[in-house]
Amino acid sequence: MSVHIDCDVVVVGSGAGGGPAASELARAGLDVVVLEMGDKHDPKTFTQREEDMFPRLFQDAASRTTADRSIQVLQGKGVGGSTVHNLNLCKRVDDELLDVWEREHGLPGLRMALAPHYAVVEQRIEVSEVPWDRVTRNNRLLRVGAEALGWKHGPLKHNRKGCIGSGFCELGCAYDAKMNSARVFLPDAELHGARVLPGHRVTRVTTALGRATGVVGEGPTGEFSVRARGVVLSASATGSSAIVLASGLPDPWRQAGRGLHLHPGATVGGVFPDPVDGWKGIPQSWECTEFLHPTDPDRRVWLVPVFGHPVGVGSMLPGIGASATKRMASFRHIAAMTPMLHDTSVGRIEATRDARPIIQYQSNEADLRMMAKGMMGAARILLAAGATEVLIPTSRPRIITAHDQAKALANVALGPLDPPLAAVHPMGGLCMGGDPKRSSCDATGLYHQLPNLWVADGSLFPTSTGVPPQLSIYAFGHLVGQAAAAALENK
Amino acid sequence: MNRRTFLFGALGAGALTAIGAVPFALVDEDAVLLAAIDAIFPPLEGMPTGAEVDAAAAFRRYIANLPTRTRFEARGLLRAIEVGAAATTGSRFTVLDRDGRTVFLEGLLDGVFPQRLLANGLKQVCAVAYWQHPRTWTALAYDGPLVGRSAP
Repeated sequence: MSVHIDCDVVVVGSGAGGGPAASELARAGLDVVVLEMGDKHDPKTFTQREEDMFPRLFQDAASRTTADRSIQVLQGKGVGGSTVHNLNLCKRVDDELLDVWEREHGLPGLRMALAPHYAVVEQRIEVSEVPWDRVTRNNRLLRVGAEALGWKHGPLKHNRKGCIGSGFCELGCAYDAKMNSARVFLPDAELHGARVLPGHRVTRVTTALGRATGVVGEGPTGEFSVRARGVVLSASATGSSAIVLASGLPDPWRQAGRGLHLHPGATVGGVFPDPVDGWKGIPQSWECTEFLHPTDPDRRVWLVPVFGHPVGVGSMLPGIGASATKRMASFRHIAAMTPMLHDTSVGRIEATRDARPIIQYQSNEADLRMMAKGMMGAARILLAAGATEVLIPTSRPRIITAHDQAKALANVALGPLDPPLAAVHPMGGLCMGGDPKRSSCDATGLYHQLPNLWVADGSLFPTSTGVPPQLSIYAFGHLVGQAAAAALENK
Repeated sequence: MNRRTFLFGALGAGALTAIGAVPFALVDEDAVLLAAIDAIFPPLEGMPTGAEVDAAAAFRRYIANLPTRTRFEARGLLRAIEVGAAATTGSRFTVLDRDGRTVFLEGLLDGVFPQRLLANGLKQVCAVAYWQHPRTWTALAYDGPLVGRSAP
């Protein structure tokens, strides 16, 4: 059955970009429809089981990868998007990097323009530092190790309220303690009249006479179409590009899909004499920034604790055979860290005819060298914190027990799947910039080639952010929502 | 030719090479999966086997949620392992003893990109199929989901 909807503006996607954009558009009095390809989740139904929650919360049941299958790319689906499964990290893009975006990408005044939006969303999602008494042993070990080495480290800020510290954040919060798009922005949008429709996957933006006229796609009962005066794409850094490409929108300089970054990371584990119980409590509350600088090409790796549950840990620990099972048997004694790259490798999004993304991305030599440096850093922190051995996930696993062995890691030659990498922060694809020949959107998210199509998600970022992008996506969603509302109100 | 195309080519070539020894279509996927779990995560004393936690059923539940192409690849992966072992060792993967299977898989992990891709993919599949079962958690001292229990 074909369904048709009319509205002022249709927002495609309901995550960190779509939520605040929809909220601002609805607050402006516009008739807003939010289309979400996944389901609406009731947190009370979250089972904290990987086998149940991966298919419910993740694109392709968490099996999405780059086209060559070398990097796992974890992206969310469902009302709230990736903010339902992410770990709540809130960190602004550094001012130095915003200055680079202004200077090198033709975005003058961006830093000043963005600041009030950061402030508003930080207040609305209640960003605060994780208090020391909630910092888990897995995270405290990072602090101990970094302190011993004299490396830069510090606490991280999250958006949580009523968190009981279950530690199952990546499987969705059964206690609804995430101040995310589903809890904060979408209810606000609905309060102001917006309609949020789960189960609606957009396959194409429709156009006529040089303007976007709406979207079409597949819904719960068959095909649907939405006619709108404005379209906001917030379908993620892979999804929005795929929709633009599959729609054949005007793109004379073939910019759509370009400029993809992923923040790929590996997992380095350390075995400790005493239990760590890494899966318990708030994850990722401490960071090491010794090797991270927003613009220094030689310092592009962020070190942060990471952990998972049996399926995730069984997948990421190195090696096979009896040694692999024995390491799993040390589950309680393992602390883990991820070196996450502030990547310079540039990928691109391609699309199937029905707007499913194909992620083309391969790590460049500089990034592989930086990953080796990051593994060295993680290994040294774990050793300095008291690990008896450190597990390096190269194809042939390396077991490190001393700092000189760890230092040598910085010179190890790496390659695809050596080590296996995972990425949770796709960025770029419809990059903002001042020059339409080198970018897809302007600083308000407006698509250069259409006067009423906006992009409000991580697609806009012209480089890697080097920090988790969630907060910046919220801020840009807020900024773009206001800009689109102003433009549509004036019509 | 991108890496994906190369991979499919390599899989196809491997299958064709071994087709005389092991018809690709007749591979018992469940048997390959259980043999792979036994080699990748051989149970320590007191730990259940893959068969005891019905890992094959868990695998089928998992792939049922995958996109069609990924589901095809996951099943093709098991078949490629079986025929790949036959082509390179002279014995099907499921016929090799545990040491033989482990050596074969370690060779893939040490190999060129498409081989590493197979081995890593197999390990992921085995982890999903085996470690999801609560009976495997006892040996890890992992206490499982908190829902339904009191807060920490």
